Amino acid sequence: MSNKIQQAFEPIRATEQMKDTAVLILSEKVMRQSGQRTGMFFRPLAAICSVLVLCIGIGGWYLWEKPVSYVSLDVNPSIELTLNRLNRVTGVESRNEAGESVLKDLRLMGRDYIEAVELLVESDGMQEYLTVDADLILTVASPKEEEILNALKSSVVSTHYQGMCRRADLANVTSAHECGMSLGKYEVYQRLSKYDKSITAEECQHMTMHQLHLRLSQYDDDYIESHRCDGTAESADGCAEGKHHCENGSHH
Amino acid sequence: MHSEQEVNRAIELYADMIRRICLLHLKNHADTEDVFQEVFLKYILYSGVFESAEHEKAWFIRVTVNACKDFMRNIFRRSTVPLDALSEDAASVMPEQMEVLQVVLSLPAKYKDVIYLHYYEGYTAKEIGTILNKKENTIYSLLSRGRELLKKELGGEGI
Repeated sequence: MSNKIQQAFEPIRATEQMKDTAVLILSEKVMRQSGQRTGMFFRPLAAICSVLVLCIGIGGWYLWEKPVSYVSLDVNPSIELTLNRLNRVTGVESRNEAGESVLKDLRLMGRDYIEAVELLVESDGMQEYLTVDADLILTVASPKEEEILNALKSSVVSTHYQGMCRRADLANVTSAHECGMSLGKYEVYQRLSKYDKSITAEECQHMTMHQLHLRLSQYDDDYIESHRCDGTAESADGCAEGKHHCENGSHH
Repeated sequence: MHSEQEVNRAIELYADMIRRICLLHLKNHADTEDVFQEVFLKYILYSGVFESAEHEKAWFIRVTVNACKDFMRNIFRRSTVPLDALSEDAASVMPEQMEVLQVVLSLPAKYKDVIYLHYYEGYTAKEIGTILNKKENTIYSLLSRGRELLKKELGGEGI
């Protein structure tokens, strides 16, 4: 039986086509499986990297990009600086044509806010507007307003250019932007509209800060003097709507 | 994991044996190709070490038998119409050999592996028991019963 069975099975062989197909299919399967294994190995690593990148991204945004403070500088040019948590400039916007021309040749992004404000004020573009009767107003809306205002009071903006510094409510930033005005101009508009119901935002947009102050002085004589950065004013009562607190009583 | 060279060597060494074991269990050429590829894929991915060539050969036998059984466990496979597993080999197999093959293939599944491994591959009952993970006595019984069935069908000539 052994011989018969051996002879019977002997001609049964794997064909060359069967072997070739196996080699071909096996190499494809192995490549796919090794790809999956590589994927399985890298998947947790990729997940960790993604979380890290996300954390760095969020952390970076939180530290660098998230707007924390707003400083507006108004003469006739209206310019607003957005500051991050580190008091670096992360946004520069002009709120009128004059502001645009001043900003044209200035690179303020990433600079410390004091440096940025001084560069702005001392720029050739801004100097044209800083005439004898011009009013230079710096308005700060920030959770760190004391720190920023004190620094501005010590800068050339106050000591040399007699700039007036004010604090504003952060909640007014959005309203000011919706009116197309800088924060500083919006604050004056709010105060003025308290006395003069006929005044409109559009009208204010086209007035210089000096013109606005002149208009306001018809109703509130003490307003300008009470808001000087150089601290010549002694006190100021509340601003419009009672929510706009004014910088006052600081001497240096 | 085995290299491409090792796989090519294994194919040359064991392809015929795997084809024959598949013939014992499977019903057509396509099924044989599927199992054939599966066995060598398992070999590629096998991370163990073979102590000897005999050890490796026994591994291939065990894996092929198990792969065939797993393949046939599939309800769909069981219900397919069986094709003539020998149709592709008809040209290379002599009529008297074909008769023997058909008798062996017609044996109940439990005898076929044992008969093949003993009479073709030359394994002893003990070795078959080790390969198929069965008791030696069971192998003796299967061999004895299978032999009787073959004698009955083939008329006892040359047995």
